[in-house]
Order: sequence, then C-alpha cells, then structure tokens
Amino acid sequence: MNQNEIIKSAISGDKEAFRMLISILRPTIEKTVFGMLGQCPEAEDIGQETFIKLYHSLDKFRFESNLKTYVTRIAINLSLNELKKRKRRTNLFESNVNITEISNNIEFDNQTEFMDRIKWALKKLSNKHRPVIVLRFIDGYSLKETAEILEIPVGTVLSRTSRALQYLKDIINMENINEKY
Amino acid sequence: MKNIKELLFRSYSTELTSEEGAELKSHINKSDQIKKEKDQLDMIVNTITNMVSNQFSREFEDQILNKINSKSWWTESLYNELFSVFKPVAFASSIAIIGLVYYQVYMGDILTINSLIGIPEYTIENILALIQ
Repeated sequence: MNQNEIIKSAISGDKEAFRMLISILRPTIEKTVFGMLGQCPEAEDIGQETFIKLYHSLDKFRFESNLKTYVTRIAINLSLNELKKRKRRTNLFESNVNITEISNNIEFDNQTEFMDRIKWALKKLSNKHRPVIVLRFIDGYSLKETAEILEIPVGTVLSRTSRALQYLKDIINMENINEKY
Repeated sequence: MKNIKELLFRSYSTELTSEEGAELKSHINKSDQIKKEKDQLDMIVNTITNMVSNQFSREFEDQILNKINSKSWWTESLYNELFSVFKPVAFASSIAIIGLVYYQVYMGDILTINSLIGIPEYTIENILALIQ
C-alpha cells in the first residue's frame, strides 16, 4: 500500500491505517517538536496533539501537496502556541537570565558543551527565526518547502536564515547580543 | 567586507552562483577572519544538522489512538443525544410557524395566543363585568 492509499484508508475511518501514518511521520515530527521546544515534558503532548489535529483535518487534505509538509505545519503552529504560553508564564513568574553572565562562564572544551550551547542558543531565537533553523537544518527541508510550511516568501526564509545564523554565531563570540536581539 | 559576510551567510541558505562561489572562496583563502567565521558557521550548522532528537515514548501511537477514540466517542454521543432531542422539536416548530404564517396571510384573520390555545379573551368590558 502506498502513502496515498494509506491516507485514503485513514480518511475512511481505518484506525490501523492511521497508526501506519503516525509511524511514517513520527520521526519528522520528533525532530520538529524537539527542535522547536527542546527537551521538555510538553514535547510529547504537542506531538500527540499534532497527530490528533491531523486526524480531524485529514479529510480536508488535498493530495497535490505533501502530507509531510502538511503535518509539519501543524506541528510548527502548535509548538509556536506552546512557546507563546511559555513566554507568558516566564514573564509572570521568572526574571530573564542575563545572557552575558552565562556566556562568559562557558568555555567549549568538548563537543557536548558546544552542543549544549547550541541548544541553549536555539531556545533564545525568536519565534520568527527558530522555525526556519529547525526546518532547514534539523528537518532538512528545502527553501521552497520551508516557505510553504511557514507560509512566507522564499526571500523571507533566506533573510531569516542568515539572521538566525548570525545570532547563533554571535552567541558564541558574544558580539553585542542584547543590543541586536 | 560586509558583502562578503552576506555572501558567506547566504551560502548556508541557498546555492551561490559560480561567480559568487569563486569570490567567496578567494576571500576565504585571503582573509583569516573570513576563514574563521566560515569554520564557526560550519561547526554550528553541522552541530544543528547532526543534533540527535529525543524520542517520543513507545506508547506514542497507542496514546494518540486512545485519545482519538475517547474524543470521538464523546463528541459523537453528545451529537447523537442532542440531535435525537432537537430534531422532532425543530420539525414541529417549523410546521407550527409555517401554519401560523399561512393562517394569517391567507385567511385574513389575526391570530392571538388566546384564540390559539382556546382561552376566552379578557377584554376590558369582560373584566369590568366580572368585578361588578
């Protein structure tokens, strides 16, 4: 059975076909959700919600587009909602940690530390820039696919990617991060 | 220098033309600063690309299907309950409204609630007569 047949079966109410779809799309959504939210308990909930939303909107799916980009769009939107909720909670209960304090205390002796730093820096990216980095470099989507998922022009994807990379580089070199971002 | 930096960042987003690629390469060979920046960006992009994602739990699929089943059970049963109650009520109301409109328009009579339900009208004269 090819993917379109599985989708059609799932639309007609075949739960096992939908289970197959989840298995096919799960690795993509794992990358997207963990890339967007980092390691946290909410990530799995967002992943589940993504597939529940997909299940309820599957009959609206047009077969000329790719299901992978369709479901990734749902995951990105749900992750962005979660980040907004998180930001509201942070504003209410926590003070922002000074970025320079953390940065000056970190030296990259090994790859793990560098990886942790990159993960931390990714979390610091704005809601505009983070999805672009996640989709382009973690999920490996093309420029056109990224533009389609985020519903923005290709030129905007280009400029956001450059700016996000600049930020990630700055956070390592500590070049006036707080002023720029 | 600014243009070269832009070119360098752009090289991670899209493919450069052959002229642009050659220009960038020559600057990387000439300038230590550009080379250092390129090395850092390579390291960042490679780290992100090879970042191992955490995994959802083994019960991931089961939990989704359970949620779908429980949700659809609730929504479907609620819909059926509401529909079974409201369908006859809505049907009867529609017939009554159509009947009223027909009666008023075609029979030329003014229909009152009292005449409809069979209670005699209490006009001012009737009330006064009752009091006396």
